[in-house]
Amino acid sequence: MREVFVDYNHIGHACRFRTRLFRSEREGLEVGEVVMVVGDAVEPRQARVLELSDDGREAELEFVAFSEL
Amino acid sequence: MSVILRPSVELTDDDDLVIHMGAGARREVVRAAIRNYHAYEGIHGRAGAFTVSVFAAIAGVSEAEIVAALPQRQYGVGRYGDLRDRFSVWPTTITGTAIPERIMAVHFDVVLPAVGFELAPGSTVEDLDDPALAALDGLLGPSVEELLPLFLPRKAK
Repeated sequence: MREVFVDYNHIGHACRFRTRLFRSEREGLEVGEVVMVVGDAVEPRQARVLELSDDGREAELEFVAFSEL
Repeated sequence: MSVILRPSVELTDDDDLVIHMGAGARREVVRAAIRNYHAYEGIHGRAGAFTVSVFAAIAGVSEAEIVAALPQRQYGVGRYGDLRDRFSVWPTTITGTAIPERIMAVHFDVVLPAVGFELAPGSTVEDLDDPALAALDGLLGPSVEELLPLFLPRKAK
């Protein structure tokens, strides 16, 4: 599964958030895809891509609830 | 999300600063600094900045409240007086986060020096290839290695 790194200092406990994407994170990424969100000192969690910017450099993600897995 | 510079640094030497960091903090701190670079565009006239988030236990906000407001499982505490001569510290507010306003009001950014770093016109850090990102890691890494020990020992939440 594709990994997307986030800085939790800029997100906090949000379930839905926007983040910038680096090359390896964004190439071929599509809305609806589930990615693994990784960050320092936090368990990796799955999130769904809700929206991508036109240039693909930014995405809106939402953590997937266990009930949806 | 955007970053706003508050008018003044409201810190004294004895103030405690909380940093969230895990076992792989050096690598992750650099990654976060690179990722957030463009969010600091315009601050102090810069094109961007490489920064590390800290939260100050001031203005009635306790260390416990700061730790609870963020999901990281580990953190460290350092004194402002121990780092202010080595790093610039900006009072900054990040907008559009789930972090309570009261906690965000004590957010600061430690600025990592990046002498010699320059982006080609029209390009972004997100466009850098792996060798360029590795070079940037090499540029920022020594400052992070100098910064993080100021917040030891690492504490569990």
